[in-house]
Amino acid sequence: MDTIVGRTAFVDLSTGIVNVEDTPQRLVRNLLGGRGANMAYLYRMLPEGADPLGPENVLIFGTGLLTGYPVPNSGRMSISAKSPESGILGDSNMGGFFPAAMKKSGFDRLVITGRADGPVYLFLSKGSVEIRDADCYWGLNVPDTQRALERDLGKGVRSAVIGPAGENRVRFATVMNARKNAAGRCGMGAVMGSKNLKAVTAAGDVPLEIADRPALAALRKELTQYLHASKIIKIYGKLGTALLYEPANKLGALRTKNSQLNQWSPKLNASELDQHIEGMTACSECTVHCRHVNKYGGEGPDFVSFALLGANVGIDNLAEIIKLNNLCNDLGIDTSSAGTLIPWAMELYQRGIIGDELTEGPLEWGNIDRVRGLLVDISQRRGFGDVLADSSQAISLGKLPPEASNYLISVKNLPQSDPHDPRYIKSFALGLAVSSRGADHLRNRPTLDILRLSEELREKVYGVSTVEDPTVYETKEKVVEFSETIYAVCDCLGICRFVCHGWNSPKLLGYKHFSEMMRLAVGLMLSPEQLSEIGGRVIDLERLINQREGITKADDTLPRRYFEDPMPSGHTKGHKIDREQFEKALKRYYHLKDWNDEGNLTPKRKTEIQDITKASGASLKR
Amino acid sequence: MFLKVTLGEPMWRDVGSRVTEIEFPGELPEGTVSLGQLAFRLGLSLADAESPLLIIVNGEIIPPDEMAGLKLHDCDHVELYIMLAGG
Repeated sequence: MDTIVGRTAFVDLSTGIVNVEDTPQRLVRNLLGGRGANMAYLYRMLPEGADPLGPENVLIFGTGLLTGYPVPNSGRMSISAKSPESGILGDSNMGGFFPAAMKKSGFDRLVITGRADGPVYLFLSKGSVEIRDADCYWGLNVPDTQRALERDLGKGVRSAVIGPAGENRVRFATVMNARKNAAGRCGMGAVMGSKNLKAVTAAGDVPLEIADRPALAALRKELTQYLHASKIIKIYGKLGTALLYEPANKLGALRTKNSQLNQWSPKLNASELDQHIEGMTACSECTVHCRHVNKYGGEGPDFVSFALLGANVGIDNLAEIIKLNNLCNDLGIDTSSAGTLIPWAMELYQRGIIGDELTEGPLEWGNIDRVRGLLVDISQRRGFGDVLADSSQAISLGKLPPEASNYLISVKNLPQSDPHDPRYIKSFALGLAVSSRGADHLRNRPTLDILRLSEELREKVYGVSTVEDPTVYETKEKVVEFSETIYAVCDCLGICRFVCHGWNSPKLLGYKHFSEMMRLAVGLMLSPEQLSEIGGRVIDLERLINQREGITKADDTLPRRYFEDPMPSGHTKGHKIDREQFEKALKRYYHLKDWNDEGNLTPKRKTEIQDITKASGASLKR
Repeated sequence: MFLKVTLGEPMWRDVGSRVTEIEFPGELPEGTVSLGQLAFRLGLSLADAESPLLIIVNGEIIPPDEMAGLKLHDCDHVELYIMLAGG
């Protein structure tokens, strides 16, 4: 039996031509959907050396294989392109209700090329794509854009939009749906803006065909009960992820003032947050409900925003942090990058490497008004905001001195998202160094490694024997490899990380659950082992894409600070990354992946992966 | 014997206060209380794999392999946090 698939639309914004075809079966069998399938198109269609903000960049909206299906936490999708922030593979993941609406408009994927002459948006309905004029929406912020589209197209539509940051090609501009659901990383919003694409709106008017509806309903009930029995799920459902601040702070593993410090104010804890919150909300098919609705007209903050717009900029006023989070979302700015780049600039100012002439006045830690003003200036590319809008590329563009690179907390030019300071947790550090999109925790962080679980439990989670101590390097390549593989599968399916085995909990959903969900939802039968192989395949494909963009072993490294500056206080005082031990762990990771000492795939594996990408049917000529 | 106990999220919500004082009345061997006894009083498990505890006694983090044998003394300050990561 063929797998139930939707359609893939090729949209050329330069010519206005749209071609729609069924998603190829062989592609689905080998890469599922979402992130994996996106990578196949990116590999096949992205010209070497393409300008990420040029018309030749390929922007791909890809729903997961299970996105929109009635299974737990199936509300996610991947948006991929060459990143204008890092200059390499860009891939960002988004939840909310738009992904399901896109799937239910008949589309697995949109492959968008070219550049429209003026502002446009795409309207997806009943399996067709229309390119429509978006002049009247251009210039609106994120919530206003979505309201305007609802006003004009009806309340049932869901839209993925950019705000002023995307329009102005801020290199870390986000694609947003609803108030807070962000495809945050890698500047996919800037890519949309560079194509004059303001929004993608989906009517959600095509019922999904389901392979075995009654059995899927029963499985859904069973899995929901299983998830709801989890203590972790219950905690996140009541308190969100902001509660992670306190244990990280107590441990002394919190990025503070550009990682010059590792602990901050105890005032920023989840109980203080209560008075600023109206309730919790969720994405499509979500069993967790981890997202706060705050009293200032927005949603959030999550742990990343909470910590990076708080501790990392030296702010301890909770209400103001929430408002900064809301501002980022309304402007369409990635809080991870903003919360790393502004502290970077603050330290450069602190050290006298940049001065008032460039920054247009003092840039002091904890100055809320200054941070607020900078976020607006970034979105408008105005004054010093224009410098920061170029993110790490500001150095190569000559807007910041070369010395600035010594203080940037980034890997492969992507500012770090994880608020945890990885100098203490060696597996986190290794993960950041090898993550395919740069310094990002969602790709491969072996979160449970911080918990010092028993050896027996660790073996149940990871399938192999590993060392419990998070401060040593031995065996950490195994936990990174396990994590990156299962997370890749999650992203290919469109399943949220929060219910993924190994992310927050040693329980929750793993390969056997995914296998069963797929069989009953879309009729695709793959064993847990085959799913794990697909995860590895995605990682290898991403390696090929990055190598084509110039990534080498030298880029699988960490910020200078992590090697040279010991953590200054608390339980983690003195910890840093030992270069020699790190290099050994990196080499072990390469070998675990069957890569050579330089981090290259074998020729046979390269050919195998390239052959699979052909299943997309795409090529440069398209 | 009294212990000052600080509780992190979400444990304090069941108790009603982030900082509380817990009395262990009567004669105790060597004037001490075990971590297990304290955990029992608070309705917590030291062996919860899904959410292990980060335990700090008088400012020092207690390694997991020392928790079982730890003895608490009169006026010790014990901080208990669920050791979570994620985000």
